[in-house]
Amino acid sequence: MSKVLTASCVGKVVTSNGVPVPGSVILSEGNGSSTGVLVLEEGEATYVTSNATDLKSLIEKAIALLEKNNTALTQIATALTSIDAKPTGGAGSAPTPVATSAIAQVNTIVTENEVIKVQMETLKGALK
Amino acid sequence: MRILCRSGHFAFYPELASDISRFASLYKVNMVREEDYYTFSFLQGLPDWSLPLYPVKNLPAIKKYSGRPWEILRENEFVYSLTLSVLVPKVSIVGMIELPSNGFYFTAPTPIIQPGLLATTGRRIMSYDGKFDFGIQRLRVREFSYV
Repeated sequence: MSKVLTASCVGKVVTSNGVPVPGSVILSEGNGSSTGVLVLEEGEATYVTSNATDLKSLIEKAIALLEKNNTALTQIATALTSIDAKPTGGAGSAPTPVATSAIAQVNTIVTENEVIKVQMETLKGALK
Repeated sequence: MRILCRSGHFAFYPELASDISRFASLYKVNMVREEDYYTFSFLQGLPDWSLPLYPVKNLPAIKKYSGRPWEILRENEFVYSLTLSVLVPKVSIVGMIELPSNGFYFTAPTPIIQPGLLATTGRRIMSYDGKFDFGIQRLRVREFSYV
């Protein structure tokens, strides 16, 4: 006969109803503080928590990283464009721009990152 | 009326409408309805789980367990004391009891047996299943066990 009790875990010590529960099996890493439930099945105790907040935090940090990367890549593309701009006027023809394909590749990566960012926002919103 | 003692927990199963009230009147006890049986009022609402140090009625539990109330008593080695009307550790029950057999059943010397008493074998009687005969106010025990 199983019993489910509210519980918390701090420093891998599970507590329920104000008392520690020695010998509990923690079904997660148990490193960070958490709240969850303690499932008692006869003499066995299992602590279960939700790590959805951990995943949400991870996704938010990944999105922030993508945004920073895109900012950096955009700055690189701008710099390359500036470097590739050739002076006009004077005699003779302007040298051929050489960074065009590199600039295009950087811009492609920026676009792909934006797509991934949207997908991660969708994933974050769909966390169970 | 059937008296079922399981690991120090009591369940009474009346046969006649008057059984419970007669027993309560005879022995000055309070009986209450619990699930499909009657029990002593103190035993009503015994939890179906225990955690070490968390109280089970008047005693702190010693083991974590989930199960029926009598299983909780068994795991924590508690019994209901008929004298004190509270839970006590089974090791605190002192005294012996003899259950002579007439071949068909055992006859108890008292109307109800305190669980935890030592049998002549030296082991504690923790459970029994018997019938209380109002006519002679004796308990006839069909079977008993040390668990």
